Amino acid sequence: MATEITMPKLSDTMTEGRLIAWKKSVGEKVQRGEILAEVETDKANMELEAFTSGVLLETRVKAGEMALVGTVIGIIGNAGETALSSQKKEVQTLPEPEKDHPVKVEPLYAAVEAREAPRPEEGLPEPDRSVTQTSCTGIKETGKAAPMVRRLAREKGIDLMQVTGSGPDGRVLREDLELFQKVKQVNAEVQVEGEPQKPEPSIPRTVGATQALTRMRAAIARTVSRAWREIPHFTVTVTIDMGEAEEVRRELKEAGTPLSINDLIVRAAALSLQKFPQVNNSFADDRITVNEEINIGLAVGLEEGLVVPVIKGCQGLSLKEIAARSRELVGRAKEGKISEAEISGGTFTISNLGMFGVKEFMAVIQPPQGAILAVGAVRDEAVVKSSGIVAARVMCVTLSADHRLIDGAYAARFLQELKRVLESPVSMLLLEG
Amino acid sequence: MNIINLGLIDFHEAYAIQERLVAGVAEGTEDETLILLEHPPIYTIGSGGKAENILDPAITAVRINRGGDVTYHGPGQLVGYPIIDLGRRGRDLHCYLRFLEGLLIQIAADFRVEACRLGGRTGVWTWPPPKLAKLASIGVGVRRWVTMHGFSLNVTLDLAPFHRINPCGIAACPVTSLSLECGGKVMMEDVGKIIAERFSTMLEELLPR
Repeated sequence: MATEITMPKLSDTMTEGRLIAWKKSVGEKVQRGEILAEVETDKANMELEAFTSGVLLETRVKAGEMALVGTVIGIIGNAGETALSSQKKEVQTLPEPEKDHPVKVEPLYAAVEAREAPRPEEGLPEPDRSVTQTSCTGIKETGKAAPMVRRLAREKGIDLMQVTGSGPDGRVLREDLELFQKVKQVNAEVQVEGEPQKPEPSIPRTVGATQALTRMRAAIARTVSRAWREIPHFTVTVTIDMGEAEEVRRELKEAGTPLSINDLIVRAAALSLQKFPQVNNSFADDRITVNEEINIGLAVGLEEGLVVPVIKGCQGLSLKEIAARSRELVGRAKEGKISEAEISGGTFTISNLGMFGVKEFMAVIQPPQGAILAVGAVRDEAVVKSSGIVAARVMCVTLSADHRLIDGAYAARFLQELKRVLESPVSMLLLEG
Repeated sequence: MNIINLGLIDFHEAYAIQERLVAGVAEGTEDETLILLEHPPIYTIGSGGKAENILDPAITAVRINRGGDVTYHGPGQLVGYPIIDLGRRGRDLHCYLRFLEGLLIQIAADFRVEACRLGGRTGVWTWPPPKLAKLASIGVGVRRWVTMHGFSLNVTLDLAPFHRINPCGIAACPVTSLSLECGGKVMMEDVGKIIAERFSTMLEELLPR
């Protein structure tokens, strides 16, 4: 008779919450009405009450961790009943065991909300559907899923029809997505190891033969050759403490404004370029062009090459606007639906390889621009502070600058400003509503 | 709606009153209440707050069941603890936080001080830059959909103790007070009176039953 405890939806705009603390430990008895845990969204904490008595069998989310609304965070059941963790691994591939009892553990509101009509148009999960309808007839591949899962799938680029749903009526659960992704990853790794000569999908390859360049490859070759030949590059690297920025990102996300670390970097770069406008200048035909607009290009890696969509007029854009514009442009760039106008007019470029765990790297400037910022991964590092050695979330960025336009000290001061903004990100929120 | 002004009162004593009222409101035996008060100097930290935001190891902060990080309370700061039944007012924590911010922005405006929200940084900030500084902090706890804790508005407060912490978890966060912004002394009684006048009207307007 195990019952699932899920992350409650405490606001229409809440997509995930932080589990602050468990008030009961695994194996401890829980009385109906007792406080099980404390969860936080924005600057409000909610005490999560138990609506059934039993024993806390399992906790799936640790104190301090974030969980999407609707995620199972723990299990309550009878004393002596085994925790579901071992079974849970199978749940991903096997139909769930029959459980046709109603939800008994939930925050007070869920009991009311579950009776109300679900509002899928808001892109939020239907309250507790996946928990209340747990009888499962078998594995089906229907592509059925809650809106939240659909959104996740979209974000991860997964086709729901390919995913085996373990939820009721073959519904795809979040866990199914994760499993699907893992399997895909493992498969990909196996393929890479097993077939080192695996040809590039878009370029047919015959060993020993030469090959014509695709249009995109030719354009890249032309640009980087010219850049490497003509631009006297120099690079400056700085390490930035991203703890605060991650916090702001988390809080904005909790408040219903999802954005990426890269969006914060774009906004910080726009602010820093305003203070150090020489970095935003261009060099062509032995002349310096002073650019009024700050147009930041984002290097987007594609299977067949690289494309750099440009966010125009960054000086006047709020974080939210940058995030929206970036999502749209990068999305279309990946789909190959970007227009010529959208990839021209850049005055500065950001290339982020953080998602590949790269610590730092140097990028080649896109002429006629004056500089490009190469962004590494945000990673844990032990940092010495006055209070001793502490764990910090740090990120390295490297500015490649055209020495004809920018001198070393100026580049360093630009990076100093970028570091200052990202380390005290409140200033970035100024244009927010 | 009851409004009570407890004057200068110890944090723990006020907490006991809050707990009693929360239980009463949840059971329907008490009316919703706005408690206004001042605390003797004390640092408090939300349940999820980080200890490293307390820069001076000599400081002890009371860990309490509210959202947000560390903050400072002291005489000259008007603290408001609304005990509100959100269960009957839309069950939306974000809306409630936005209501508190709106109320405090209005109060600041009543004293001709321009204040704003910063998306992602709950609280009330003076505006425009470079004046940007924290005027009021917000941290809420909710039990059975009844709210406790709430907001603290710096009126004539000595701001020095804020320098020993990262207020609300923000390093070197600039902090200000109504008096500083007005350039003259603001009376605590006047602020209390205006909040008492505005609170229920704005609550009914933004979070109707």
